[in-house]
Amino acid sequence: MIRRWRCVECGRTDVTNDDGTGARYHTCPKMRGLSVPFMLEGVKAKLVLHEREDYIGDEMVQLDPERHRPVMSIETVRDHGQDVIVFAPTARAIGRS
Amino acid sequence: MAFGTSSKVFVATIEYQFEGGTLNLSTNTLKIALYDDTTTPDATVALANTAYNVGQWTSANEVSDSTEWPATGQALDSVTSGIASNVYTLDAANEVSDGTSATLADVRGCLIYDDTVSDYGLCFLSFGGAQAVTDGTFTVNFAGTGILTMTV
Repeated sequence: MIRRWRCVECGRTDVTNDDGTGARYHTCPKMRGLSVPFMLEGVKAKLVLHEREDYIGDEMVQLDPERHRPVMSIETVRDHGQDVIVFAPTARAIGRS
Repeated sequence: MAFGTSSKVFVATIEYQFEGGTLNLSTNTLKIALYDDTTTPDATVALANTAYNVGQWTSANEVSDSTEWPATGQALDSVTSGIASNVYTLDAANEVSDGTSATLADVRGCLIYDDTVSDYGLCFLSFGGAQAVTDGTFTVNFAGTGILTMTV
């Protein structure tokens, strides 16, 4: 099944020939260099990047490659529903001697 | 009560492994279950209370979709487990809900647990705020530094 994709932020396009399931991602220059999903051509949507607003402290959260700000999620808002990519932190244990 | 903003490894699970535990993270089935803000994680609980559907990790606090992110969670894929430069790292492929029509509300974080051995918890991750999808896809993007690390 041939599917045509388009990024709603940077306009980049792509074509895949697959079984018709799953999503397609790319590193988007308009979304601070984060990996974001393409939308199928013709689907109206917008991407919203949410930064973490809590106190980070020494938590190993994910930072965006461009501004090095802590990112929480990217929301894809469509006419009917939304998708979310959550950027999970790393749980860390440190041994002390 | 609140999920909070911290992501921690369970101390009791580390102790269990040091004392001859059987969590083979390379071969066991590991799962990720989603939780709401009524959950109050604590990394210092006894081993039994790290487990899925026990204590704070009761299924009553779990967020799920009947088919696309079912209760008990999703199995992690492409799990890697190993030590390099005195740092142990557990990692896996990003976890994506099955299908394109999941509805999940008020997801605050997740429990990573061993589905093979007594559902013991390995760690919990805070997502930093409420996450939700409606008729869509929910993806947990694990950090390049892994799901959990232990520096010795």
